[in-house]
Amino acid sequence: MAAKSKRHSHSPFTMISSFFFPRGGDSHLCFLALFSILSLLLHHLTVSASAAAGNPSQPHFEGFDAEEDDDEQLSFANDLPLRSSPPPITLTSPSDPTESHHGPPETNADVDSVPDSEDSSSPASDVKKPSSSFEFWDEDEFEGFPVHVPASEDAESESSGTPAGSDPKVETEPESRPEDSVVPPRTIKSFTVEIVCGSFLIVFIINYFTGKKENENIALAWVMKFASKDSIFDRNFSLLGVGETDDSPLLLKEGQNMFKFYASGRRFCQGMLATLELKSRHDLISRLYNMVVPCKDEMTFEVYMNDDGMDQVVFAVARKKLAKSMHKEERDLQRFASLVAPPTGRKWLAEELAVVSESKEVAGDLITEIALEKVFGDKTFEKFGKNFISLHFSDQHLGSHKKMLVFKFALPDAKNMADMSRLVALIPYYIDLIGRYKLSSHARSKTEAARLKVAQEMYKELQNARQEALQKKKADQRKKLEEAEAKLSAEALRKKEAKERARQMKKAMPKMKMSKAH
Amino acid sequence: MSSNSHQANDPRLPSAQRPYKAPAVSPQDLPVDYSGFIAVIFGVFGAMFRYKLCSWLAIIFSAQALANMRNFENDFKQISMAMMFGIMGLVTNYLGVGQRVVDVVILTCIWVCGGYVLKLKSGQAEL
Repeated sequence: MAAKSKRHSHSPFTMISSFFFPRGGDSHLCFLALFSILSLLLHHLTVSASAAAGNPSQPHFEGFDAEEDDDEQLSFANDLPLRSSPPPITLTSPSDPTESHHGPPETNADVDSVPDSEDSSSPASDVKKPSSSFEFWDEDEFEGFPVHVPASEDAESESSGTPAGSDPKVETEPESRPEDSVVPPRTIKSFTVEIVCGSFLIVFIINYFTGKKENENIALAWVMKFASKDSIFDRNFSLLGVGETDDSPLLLKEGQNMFKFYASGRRFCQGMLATLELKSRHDLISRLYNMVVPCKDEMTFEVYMNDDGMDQVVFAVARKKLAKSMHKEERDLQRFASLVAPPTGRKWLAEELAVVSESKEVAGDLITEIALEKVFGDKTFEKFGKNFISLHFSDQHLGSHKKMLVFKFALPDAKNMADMSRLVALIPYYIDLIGRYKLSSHARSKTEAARLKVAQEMYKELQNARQEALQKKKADQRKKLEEAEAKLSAEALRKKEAKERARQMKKAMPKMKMSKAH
Repeated sequence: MSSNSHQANDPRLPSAQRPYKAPAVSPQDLPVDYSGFIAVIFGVFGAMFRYKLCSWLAIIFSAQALANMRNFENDFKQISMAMMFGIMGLVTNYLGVGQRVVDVVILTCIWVCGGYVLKLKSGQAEL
């Protein structure tokens, strides 16, 4: 029953929350978090309200300063509205009278013995003991402490500024502070934040338009060079651009720094998607960031090969460092390929490049004389290879399309687009090369075995995952059922119970009759 | 033979061409909009504790988020929220009047955006 009542007390809360918010597994938690934020804000509000109300009545409160009961409240109210009002000594000095209860009150004003029992902040007040001011002290209440108590009261009146006016300096202080906050000195310095932020915003907006234009110019320069009439892509693909018709725009703009170019209609492949990922020139903050961490304009070509247009090939070329990281990160390379050492007695890639491939045979066949001569050879790579980042051919790519050739190049300036024309020429060359390429039977059996093994592993993993998912689903369902039950109010439960009882009664009744009839 | 050589010269194959179709991207795969997130945080802080620097930063970061926006419908809601917080913080700071009114507005805003976050979360959970 206790659990039931607990549920009942819980239900209005959930009802409210579900009224405002959609139901969700962790909505309670979120509601709690939200509630805590709200309470924080409310607290803030009340504090500011009390600050507003507290200011005028400040002297009034201070009249009661000496009263012990108000000590804590007062110091609380004192601290909040006036941040720079009397230093927190008030917290320690009002406690002196209370401490005097605990410590043995020396009637003979034994100055030396008291500091020993108190903390280090109090000696200052203790020294002033002899100067006594009895005006606001109820003598009847503290008959036994003639010297000690007034002394501490005195210290307190000094620090918090009682209306006694014993210290004119303290009187003026609370008045001068509000003036400061209302009329701050209006110098240029006080507007630093506004000036800096405002000018940054203006520069940001100007940079947005100029940077946008810059990026567009680079993308257009690329298109003019490689996708206009009688250019390399026009000669290789029958459809250029993202639209259906011939006069549709060639480039698709995604965001301010991402452009896409699509081409299709070529043998061996279904299509090619080129993605120009330029620097965020339109964004001043990333521009500043890029000054510290430089990056390049990059371009990625993804060639979607026909299913029958590519044999089992896993092959990648990149600079040594990148090749190693690709070998670790890309799953197909990690599973099927390994770093291939340069063979002896043969022309090979430039020294800075490394090959990751499934077998030596594939690497040897794909690094042809022509490719070496055009780009990858020692001499030519120095000249034309500076924009080369990586190429990665695989029939085991993750994602929707498995057989894919991926080329990554850096983009040169808008003026020097011709620098990468040799690299771009690699694309149709490799499409044809891969499209015609057939593995030898020996290599083929090897690759097939490797793929079978991986497929089996994948299948196992998949089955495990499926089982886990099934179990999770079951647990979720159970949880949901329990939750639904918990959501039912006690009344509904009672109704249900009553119904159940009635049904049981009904069940029992005919039996009785039966027995009676017999 | 002639046709074969012609094909060798011209790799184009109009019969195989396929129009471009944009890959479907699920909302989870989208890159996280850090600047929008930072803007919201600064905006809330600026409005709650009346730090004008926070409000200014919120406006700057929401401008950045606006500049980097990819999908108008998806992103604009969050960015507009951040901007609202930033502007509200500045209004409270510089006009300084009707602070209680503004407090109430902030309360409702937090309430609303809390609901919005919950909606997002529950939506993700259901997905």
